[in-house]
Amino acid sequence: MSELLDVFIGESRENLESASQELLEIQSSGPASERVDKIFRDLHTIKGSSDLFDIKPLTRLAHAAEDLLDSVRSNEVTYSDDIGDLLLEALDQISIWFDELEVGSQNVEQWKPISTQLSAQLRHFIDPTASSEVDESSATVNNESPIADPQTLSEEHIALIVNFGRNADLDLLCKATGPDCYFIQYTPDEGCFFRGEDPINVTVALPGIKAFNIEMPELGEDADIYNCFTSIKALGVAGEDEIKQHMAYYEGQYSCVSFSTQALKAACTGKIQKCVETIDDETLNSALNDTDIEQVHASAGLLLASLNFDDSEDGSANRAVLSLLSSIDDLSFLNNEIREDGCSGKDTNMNTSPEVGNSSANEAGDSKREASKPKNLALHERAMLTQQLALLNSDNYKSEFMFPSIAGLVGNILGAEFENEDALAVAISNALDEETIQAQANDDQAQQTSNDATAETTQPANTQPAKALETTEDTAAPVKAERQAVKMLKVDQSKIDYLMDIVGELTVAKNSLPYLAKQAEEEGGSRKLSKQIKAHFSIVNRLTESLQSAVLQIRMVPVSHVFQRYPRLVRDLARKLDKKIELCMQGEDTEFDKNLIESLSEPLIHLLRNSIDHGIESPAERLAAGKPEVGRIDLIATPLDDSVIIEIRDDGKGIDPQKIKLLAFQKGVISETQLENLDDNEALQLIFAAGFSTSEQVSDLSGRGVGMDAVKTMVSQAGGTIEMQSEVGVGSTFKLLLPQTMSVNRVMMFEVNDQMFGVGMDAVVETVKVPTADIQRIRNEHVLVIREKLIPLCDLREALGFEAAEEREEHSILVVSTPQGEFGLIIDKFHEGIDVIQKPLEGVLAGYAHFSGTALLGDGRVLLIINVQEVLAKCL
Amino acid sequence: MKTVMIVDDASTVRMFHKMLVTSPDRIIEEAENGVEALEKAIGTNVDLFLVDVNMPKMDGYRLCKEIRLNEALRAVPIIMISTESANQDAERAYQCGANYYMTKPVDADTLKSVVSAVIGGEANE
Amino acid sequence: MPITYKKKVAVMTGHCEIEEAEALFAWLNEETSRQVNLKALGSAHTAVYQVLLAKKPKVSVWPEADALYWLTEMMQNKQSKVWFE
Repeated sequence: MSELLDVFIGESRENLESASQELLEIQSSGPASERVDKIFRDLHTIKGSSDLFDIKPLTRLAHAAEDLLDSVRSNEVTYSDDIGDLLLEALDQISIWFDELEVGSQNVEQWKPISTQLSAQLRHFIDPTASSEVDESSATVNNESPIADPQTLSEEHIALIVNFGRNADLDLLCKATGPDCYFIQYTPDEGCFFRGEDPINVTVALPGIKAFNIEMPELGEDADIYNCFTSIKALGVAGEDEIKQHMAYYEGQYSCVSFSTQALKAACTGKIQKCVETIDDETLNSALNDTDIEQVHASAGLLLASLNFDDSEDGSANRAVLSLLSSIDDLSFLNNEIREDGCSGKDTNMNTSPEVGNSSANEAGDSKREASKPKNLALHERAMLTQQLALLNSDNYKSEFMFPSIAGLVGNILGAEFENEDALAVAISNALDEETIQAQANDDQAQQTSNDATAETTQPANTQPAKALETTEDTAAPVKAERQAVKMLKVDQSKIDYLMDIVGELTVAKNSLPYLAKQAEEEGGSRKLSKQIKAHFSIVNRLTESLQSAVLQIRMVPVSHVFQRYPRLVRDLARKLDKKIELCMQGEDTEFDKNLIESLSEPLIHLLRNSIDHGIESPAERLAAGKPEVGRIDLIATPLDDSVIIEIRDDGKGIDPQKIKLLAFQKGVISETQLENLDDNEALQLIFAAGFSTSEQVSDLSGRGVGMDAVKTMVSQAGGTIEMQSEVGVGSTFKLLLPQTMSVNRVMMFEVNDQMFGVGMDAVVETVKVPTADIQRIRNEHVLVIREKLIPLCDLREALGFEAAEEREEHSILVVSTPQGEFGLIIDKFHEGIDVIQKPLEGVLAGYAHFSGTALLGDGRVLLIINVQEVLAKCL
Repeated sequence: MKTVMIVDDASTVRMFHKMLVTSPDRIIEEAENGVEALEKAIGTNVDLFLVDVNMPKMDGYRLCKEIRLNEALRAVPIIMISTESANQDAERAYQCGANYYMTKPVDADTLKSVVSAVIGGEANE
Repeated sequence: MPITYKKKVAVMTGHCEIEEAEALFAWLNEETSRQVNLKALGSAHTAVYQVLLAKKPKVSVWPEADALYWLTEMMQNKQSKVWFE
């Protein structure tokens, strides 16, 4: 122990040194916030460590200094030299005490008044109007606030109670009809009668009062009977607030200590156990071991009546214990404390040790076994298990992150392994008291139904990943002891991906069936067969679509997965730039395909960085502009059909269309005429133009100085679109529209340079084969006239970087429709249309803007699906 | 052998808690703050974290979150030990991923029992 | 009158206010053998209780009122402490 003390003193001296240094600096150069913070931390450490050694005066002084510094650093109190001087005085005093502690010459009693006074002086700076905290008239009692840790009663409190009466703790426990108890020391002023006060009646009327003690001195004949001479102590069962309210008028004349019945139970346990051992009655002992309440009552009552109790400490304690045992309703706190061999506190439950070794062998049978075996739990084990169950049932519960540790922890306590939340919850419930779980489940149930009600109205489809395919109304799937119908499975991601691939191939493979049917009819001459094939194809088609849809649903994941990284990102970046920014997110439950969600994250991060870097102004600028100091970025996800709209809105300085136009002109993106003619809206859209960036220096935060054109590419690669609106001085809003799943697309296949490509069928207008002669040249471009429409042409060979083909007599042209009009793509060969599940580009390919995705063909080939817009942009 | 990692910026407290939970079949690791804790934990086998809240560089709440986000460390139980006693502080700890929350000063027997319950074995006297 | 002073017994009835305290105190001080009849006592101001508790005079009839159980305990058993059931 002395080694610990040495470490404490050593460490604390360092803290003192550092604190003094900082204090001196402050005195000469002002209260810089880092300095104040440093001193605060030093004192906080000293306070915390001293608490371990129960050196109350030192802890109290450190606490007062810490609180004062806290007020200074949060600007509630202005630093002054007086404060500095007083703090130095406190530090010096602590140092002196350390000296004494070091040589062992400390007299903690003598420290008390010094500590009290200095603490009061320090606290006076915090609140000059507050009266002194320590009630001097009640020398033995501290004005403690309720015990922080409801599990234990402090030594002081126990002393108070025992002071009241030898076995007052047991007697009170006997009568404890509620969860909170109190002890009051009430010393009315002598002149209180003149104020109209009536202390004894006030005491008798205390809520939940169970006992009181009235001290009355001897009164001489000439005593002034109109003075109040009484001094009262009382014990009772009621909450602190009730007491405070009852005693409201008498503040300053009483002190109250509140504690929980739980803590009282824990405090009595030792005494009870000792007495039971002394009494040593077989029936009673076995009744306690079996937790047979009725038997305990009966045998305790019998003993109470038959034994003789003397007035000794032991005798009266025994009687009190028996009295308690004969009426107490809840024996759970005593569990495991009564053992024949007399060892207490240890959980020697025979079931644990062998379990731990065998648990790995017993996976399937575990949940069943746990259900039938009630285990005797120690107090802290109960508390921990209860907490784990609460965590499982909480609204914030995230299986992926929390299940492993909860399962591990519970597993160690109960000696088993758990596959899923269900088995876990059932096991915990069985191990704990049934009643408590019922109550908690009812509360959660009530809350969950209201949660469900709101969730239903905002989200149409809302299934969690890794959930078995069920259509229950229970969207968030909390784990309840009774609701065993909801099963959860933990599945490896790669298995789902594999499943997806197979489904994708199946989708493509089924497509050849109609063709085969046709063959059967034309070449095989069997109409009947053809019809049958077609009929079956219809069934297979329907099934495949359902399968596809189902698997896609499994992969849906709430965007919160990506969103949750952002607040930290925003905080860090904002802090680096000395800006104050708040990120508000909405719609985090909106679901997205797992594979697509990463493709969503990149553009979002860039947009966020832009907002933080260039959008939101510094706090000073914002205040000057009449805006709140803290900038705000809203990130909102909303589902729309089978897409998702993601909005990033900031209230920063907005984008100046004039500036954009100018820069665009300088970079050669627009011509002079455009510079004059473009309106504000069109100007703003220029930021998406290729090669455009307004940041003059490459800010190290935005990394590569990514411009909006790159962001746009990322978005369109993901199959989405992006829009922007902005107002100078007000802020900017970016809207991204992205497809929610990798849906099935109908794609038209074609060949260029012996390679297969695809183009989304909805863009295809028609396919034509034209003689080369029909292709005309207008200036530098090739065009084709179709039905009096002028269609500009784009040679895909060239656009995709292949060598030019040899001269041909005719060309195959794929006419596509875009927002800018119709265009023709010159390709080599047409192929059929097929249904594919389009995957976004990954890895190296991701940088190629020409392609919006890939698809797996039935024969294992990979189809590259072109992004029409991008290709045309490059071409023309 | 089970490993307990004690994370607290006060060496006295670390020493005290170490004293309470040490035993021949346990390895006790120490760290002064969240950053150090992560550095030491990643790549080793930790069976329990005892985490203080107020620490420089990375506080206890953040450390909890980081542990849960980390695939290798995710399954390790975390017991948070803090000076704060308000309900919100416990709530916050749980939201950050702690399994259990205790307030300082920790009752010696309770800590011993709790640690034994979580990782098995008994602390020495 | 809440307190009726007979020759040797002071009969206390109903509620005794603070004003009664002085007279009662003086009366009890005059003769130590004097007694109090608490049968009909309902309640009293602390000052009055003070007198009773300080002097602990002989009681001819104990209070009937349940609420004064504590007073009986204290005076009868010379205890300063009372536990309620």
